[in-house]
Amino acid sequence: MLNVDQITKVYQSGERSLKVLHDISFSIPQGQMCAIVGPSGSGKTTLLGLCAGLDTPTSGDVYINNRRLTGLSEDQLSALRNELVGFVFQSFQLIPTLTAIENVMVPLELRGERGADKMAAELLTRVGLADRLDHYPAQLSGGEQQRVAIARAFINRPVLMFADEPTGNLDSDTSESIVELLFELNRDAGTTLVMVTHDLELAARTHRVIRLRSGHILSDELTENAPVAQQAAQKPSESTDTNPTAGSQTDDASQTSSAPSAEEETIVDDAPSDSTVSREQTV
Amino acid sequence: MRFIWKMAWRETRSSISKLLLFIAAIVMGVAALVSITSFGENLDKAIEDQAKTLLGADLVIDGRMPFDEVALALFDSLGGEQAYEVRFTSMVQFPSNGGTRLGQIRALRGGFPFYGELETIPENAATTFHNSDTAALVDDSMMMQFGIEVGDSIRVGNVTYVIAGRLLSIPGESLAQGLAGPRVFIPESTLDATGLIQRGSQLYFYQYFRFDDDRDVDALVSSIEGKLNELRVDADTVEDRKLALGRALTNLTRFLNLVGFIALLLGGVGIASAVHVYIQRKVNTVAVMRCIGVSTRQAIGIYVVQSMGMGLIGAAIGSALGVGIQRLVPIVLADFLPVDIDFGISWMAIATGFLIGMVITALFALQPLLEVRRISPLLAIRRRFESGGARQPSDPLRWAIYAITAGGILLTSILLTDRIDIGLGFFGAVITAFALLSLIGVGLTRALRKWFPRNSRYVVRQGLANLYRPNNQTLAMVVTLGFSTFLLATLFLSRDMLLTQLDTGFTQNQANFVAFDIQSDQREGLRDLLERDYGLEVRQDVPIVTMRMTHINGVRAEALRDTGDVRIPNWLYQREVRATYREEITDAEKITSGEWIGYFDDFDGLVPISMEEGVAGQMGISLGDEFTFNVQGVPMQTYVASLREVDWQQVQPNFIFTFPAGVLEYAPQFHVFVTRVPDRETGAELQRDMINAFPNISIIDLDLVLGTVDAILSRVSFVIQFMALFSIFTGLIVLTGAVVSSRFQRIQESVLLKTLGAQGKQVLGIMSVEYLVLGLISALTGILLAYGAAWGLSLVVFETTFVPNWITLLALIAGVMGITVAIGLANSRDIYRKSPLAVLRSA
Ligand SMILES: Nc1ncnc2c1ncn2[C@@H]1O[C@H](COP(=O)(O)OP(=O)(O)O)[C@@H](O)[C@H]1O
Ligand SMILES: [Mg+2]
Repeated sequence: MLNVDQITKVYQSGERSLKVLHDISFSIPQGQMCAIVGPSGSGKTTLLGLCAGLDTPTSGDVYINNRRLTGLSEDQLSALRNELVGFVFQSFQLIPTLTAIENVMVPLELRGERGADKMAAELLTRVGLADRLDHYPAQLSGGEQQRVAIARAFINRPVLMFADEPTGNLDSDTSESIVELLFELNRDAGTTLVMVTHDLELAARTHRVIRLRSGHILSDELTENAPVAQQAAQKPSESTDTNPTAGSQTDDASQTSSAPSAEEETIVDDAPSDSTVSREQTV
Repeated sequence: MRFIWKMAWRETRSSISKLLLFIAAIVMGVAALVSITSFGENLDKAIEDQAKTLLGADLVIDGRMPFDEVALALFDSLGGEQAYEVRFTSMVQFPSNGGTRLGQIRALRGGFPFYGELETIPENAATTFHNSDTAALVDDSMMMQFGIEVGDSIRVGNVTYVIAGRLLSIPGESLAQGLAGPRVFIPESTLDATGLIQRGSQLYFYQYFRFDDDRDVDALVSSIEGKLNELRVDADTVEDRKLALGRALTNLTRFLNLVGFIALLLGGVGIASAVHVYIQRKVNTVAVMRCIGVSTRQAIGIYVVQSMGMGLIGAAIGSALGVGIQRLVPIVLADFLPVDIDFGISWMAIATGFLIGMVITALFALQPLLEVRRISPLLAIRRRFESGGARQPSDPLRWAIYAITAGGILLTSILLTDRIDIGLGFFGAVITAFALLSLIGVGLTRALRKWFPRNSRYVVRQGLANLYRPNNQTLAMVVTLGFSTFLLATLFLSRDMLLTQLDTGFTQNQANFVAFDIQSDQREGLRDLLERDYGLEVRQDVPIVTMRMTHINGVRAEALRDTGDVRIPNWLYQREVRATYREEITDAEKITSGEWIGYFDDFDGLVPISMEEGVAGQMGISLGDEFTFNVQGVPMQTYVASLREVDWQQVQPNFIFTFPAGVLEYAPQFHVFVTRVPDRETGAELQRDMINAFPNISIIDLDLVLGTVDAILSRVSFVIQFMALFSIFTGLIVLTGAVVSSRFQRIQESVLLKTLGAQGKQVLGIMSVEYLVLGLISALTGILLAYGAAWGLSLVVFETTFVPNWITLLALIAGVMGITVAIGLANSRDIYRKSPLAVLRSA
């Protein structure tokens, strides 16, 4: 589904060049829900951007459905995104001049598909906004906006869903319901999910967690939630990569929350503290 | 495509009022173009409809010498109804209050005008005049100047007439034509009695014809062309007049169109700036759309459609406004129009204005719209990274768009003027002006930021800092407001300069009083009057001998005129030449080649004369060429011994041809006296006394020249000011648009300040400072450029030292600052009134 092959990303700022990603490789099979975690500045967003073809890697390749992204033109990438990819953003990113239903309709209208309004209304009903169709983003709360954004992300029936800290701007209760919604829609549609988060509780609820630190993959492991088929399919070479510190990391997600190591503490610090507490209560 | 339209509409829907405001920038420009073009079309139609009244006759034959028997016989053979007029300048006097003035006298015999009417108050005055031997019609402007009423009398030479009516208009002549020489109609039968037809009088003779048999007048004129040439007279037909008038009025409308076009271009600058800011606000939206899969082309398409939609609305409003304003144009131009304009809607004009408005919108919006291409979808997941030194690669498309914009403006200018050279010149001037304005604007803004006292009060510092807020439109406002200021300042400065230049005649020790047409036997008497009664010094007593030029290098002038080898100007051909003789050259002259010969008395030899070099150049005459003159019946052979440069600006008679002393002393002649009167009152008194003693003598004093120039200038500048209004309004609209589009930012700033404890008064103060400084920079920018322009004009056109009138300039600066503050604050009213809480809730 999504293959990342030895990508590096170097940012050139003035004279100095900054290597943000070092030789990252992984592949995500169809239907898997994968979390990318790591402290702020570790390169998560950069990686996500590269996976979605929003940016081009300095070296290495990204494949979606075996189509190589490098070398595609901007417009080809756009078309590809419209066809295969959905996005959920940390800051919702609804278009302020469009109503809720219009925001949801955009991807379908882009394709020139008929019946966009019916589908959009259905999806909005499904995310619980049946009575807010004609409201503008400014008239909706944060949680409601994110629901609209999720509806928009799913309307073109994407095979690959990217979410960049989808709960980062929400309070804990709202976060919980948004996550439920996201996972539910995802399961129902069998969509592959790549989610960036620094919320380890949230990450633990996915099938797989890739830890990133300073542009290196620290670890890449399946969680207990992963379907058996996926657990069997995972080859050892993928979990023990070239990262020198990766070998010592064997603890799973449940251990992490009960006895955080120095490594994870920084991660937890990074997240809103109240959300961490509440997550512990819900687990 | 449907998607683009849909999105464009949805995006527009919520912010239509804001969008409309910046598109309003083109409204005034389009209105100007539509109204001027419509006016031009209506004018053409009026000229066509009123063609015959332009001439007042079917044919006019005019000459500078009395018609002889051959001419009269020719007129007889032409037949039809005829009228005759002798035209000349002379002093007129109003006995009721002693006022005197140089006027243009028209001694009329017969029923002119045959087409159209002399418009008068009372209405039947023309009939009264035609039926009387003692009545005169007098230009309304002169009667107002002297406070004269119908029924009062006017003295022309030795005859006193009763004023039968105020003359409002003459077919084919505009009011402005009467400013230099107010017109006075008198019966031709009284002409001799006036005693004004004397030696040296410059006379124009007109024979008017009306044919009732529908004959082809132009063919008729062609058939007698040779005879007319032989008689040294000109024929003027309705067709000729239509052409000449059309040419003059085309120039007028062309000029007005260009001034209107400037307003449109300023609007374009406003649009470019507004679209730029708009797109900056849309960066996030575009990035999200790109993430969802919208292609770059579609994203640009959405904003192109929006801009063009707004342009469409702007152009439509402008066209409608233009149709309305069109009614004003004839009123503004009334003084310059020889025909009555009917109001009519010209679809052609509306289409032209509308189209040009759309094109300019497209051209100016294109460049900022290009920024959409650069918005990466990456921006949706992270905020823009200010990558310090990393330069964006230069964009060839951007340069292509610059080229397209420039080309579009150039093409439009050529289209508007219908002339490649004028279009090019205008384009060059406008580009230079814009470039200079931007440069000065940027320079001033930078300088202010750099040199502004850092320890000034907070309110002042904050107000100033506001001009540099992100996404500010300071430069666009400076350019548009500055350009308007520039137009006005240049106008005022030029006018001041011209008047000051003339006025120095009174303040400096220059001659300022010229009396001409003095007959030889009047010389002594006049000299006594000036020297004994008034204690004035006659600075020059110039003899003038009139003669006709008959041959050049032995070839008859008539023959030369036919072949066209030598270009003989009309005045030299049709008129008697006025020449003088003297031993010395004057202060105003300089010999540029050949040798000045001051004395010559060999009556058999070739007389060495001196010729003005400009005219010689035009005619292709060089040293040694021979002229033969007929001096009052005596042929005189001359050759050009020297060429002179003449400074025409000095108040004194200057001559094309000067003769050496020794040959013309005994020829019939008249004189010109040049003197200096100490003040205006003395001048007026002297004039009265001179007219009473010597009615035939004409007087030009500086006061008269000043008054005339001022009258004409004020009418011309009224027209230009009217046209400049379009630019000023555009500047104000751009200002309003900029203020309104930065509203949200301003509200946040002001709320933040208030939460920090600022008083409403302080917030108001900060805004006032911002607009005051903006107004100041704009005004200074415009005035600096105008100063440069006026300085250039003073060198090239006025040939004088440039002394700017600081009061005018200061008033202009104050005006611009005042208007800027007023508009700025008016549009921010509710911002500083808002309570912090209310805004936090609504945000
Ligand atoms: N355009 C850029 N130019 C220079 N440095 C960048 C740029 N974008 C991101 N970075 C740097 O790359 C690193 C990783 O950033 P990011 O992917 O946003 O991390 P995360 O999402 O994990 O917080 C950071 O140190 C950031 O400063
Ligand atoms: Mg991030």
